[in-house]
Amino acid sequence: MDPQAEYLKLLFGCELEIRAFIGSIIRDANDADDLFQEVALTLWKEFSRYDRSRPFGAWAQGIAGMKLMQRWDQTKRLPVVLSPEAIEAVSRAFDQTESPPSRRAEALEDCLKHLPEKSRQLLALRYERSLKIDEIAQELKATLDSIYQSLSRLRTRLQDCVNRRLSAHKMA
Amino acid sequence: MRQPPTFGPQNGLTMPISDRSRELIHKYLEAHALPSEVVELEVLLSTDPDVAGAFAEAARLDSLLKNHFRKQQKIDQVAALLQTSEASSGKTGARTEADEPAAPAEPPRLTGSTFVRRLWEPTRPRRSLARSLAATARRWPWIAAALLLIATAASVWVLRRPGRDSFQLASGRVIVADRDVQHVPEGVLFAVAGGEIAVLQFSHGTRIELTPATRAVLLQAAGTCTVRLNSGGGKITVPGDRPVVRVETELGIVTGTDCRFSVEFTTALPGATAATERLELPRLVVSVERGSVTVERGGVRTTLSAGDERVFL
Repeated sequence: MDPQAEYLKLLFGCELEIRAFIGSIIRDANDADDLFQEVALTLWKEFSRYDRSRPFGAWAQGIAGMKLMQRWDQTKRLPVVLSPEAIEAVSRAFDQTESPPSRRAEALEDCLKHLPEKSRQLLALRYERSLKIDEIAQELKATLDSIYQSLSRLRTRLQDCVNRRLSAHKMA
Repeated sequence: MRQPPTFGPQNGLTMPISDRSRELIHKYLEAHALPSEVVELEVLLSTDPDVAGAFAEAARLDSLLKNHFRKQQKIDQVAALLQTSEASSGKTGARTEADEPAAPAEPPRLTGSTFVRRLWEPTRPRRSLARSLAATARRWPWIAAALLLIATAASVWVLRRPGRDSFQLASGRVIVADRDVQHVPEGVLFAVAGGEIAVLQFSHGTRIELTPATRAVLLQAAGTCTVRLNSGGGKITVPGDRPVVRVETELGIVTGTDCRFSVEFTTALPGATAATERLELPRLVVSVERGSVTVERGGVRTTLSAGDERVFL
């Protein structure tokens, strides 16, 4: 296969996972997007050295982790907030996943279908319109804390639902 | 206090994490954590693999939710467009059928798809050619009057429409359907030919300098001048208090007024050279020299100010 086509296929296969990893450390969407692009270019530059006996996702994540650590500034703590030790721990945790992102996405779609309309609307404000908690609170005329609590509960509920579905799929 | 079992890094059952750890993770992901709480989370992440696992799970969910809702937003936009188109074609149908004989009884319809339904719509009964000609002849004076009226209105509109000469080529070469042109027609695909920059000077002062081989379509609507960029790019200068310039590409929409910025939109994947080993991904590069522009991409708006350069993949 043409190396470029092979590279793009591998990159797109783990893009969601790499973005999730970067996004968990860099919370600003634009900064996270910038770093993902930087990682994608570095991966291509180093692609000839990629050991094909290893999973591409794990290799890509290692490079993403390295890039994140390079950006860590102990004084400013921006755009990377967490320390290198914490980044390493998170990277290890990301590495240990078993379910492919596509199966997770399917499980999430199913779980979202069973949410009440009000909950879906709240999630849409947060993720579709990218509003921050205080902006959502203003829009819904609610307190900041109540929105924060509602979102936390919703995410926990969704997380449990996704995991239940993934486990059921694994058993079947 | 311990919570019911939650899931960690292996996507199987792992040790539960404390309420506090869960709270810290949520706070962090919502950018709601205090600096002291971030430090507390760091320690937990570095020392407890279950907390790190729960953190990764929560971050994955966060990312999947973003992905889901952005995809949903696009689906909704397309659905809205289809609905609009459906509604307008429905209105047209009602108008043309108003003076026709009554339609036969409606056949059974398939449900579930708005597209299937049209296949079952009744067909109009055919008229003989002689009857059609006779009917047309009777209506001829009215048809002539209507045509005259339309022609007059069209002439007035063409002569009076704002910015009629706004697509004037100031320098360089532009071709439309393999022919050199001096005026770039609205809504038609054109390409910059030769090795020189093509400069389009608009009547309202906006200047667009396009690089060789650029392919684009120009459109004008009230208050907005749109460049639909298929590939290539160039520099765009928009004076203050002038119409907004909007550059549309597959990777994002750049909008600006009272500014000077450049865009470069690459769609192809040129082969990497052994010398550089650089990958040229499809990309949109936006850099701003003066003022500011907004780049809208996947429902997210980014404002770039003078001195900023951003690559969108």
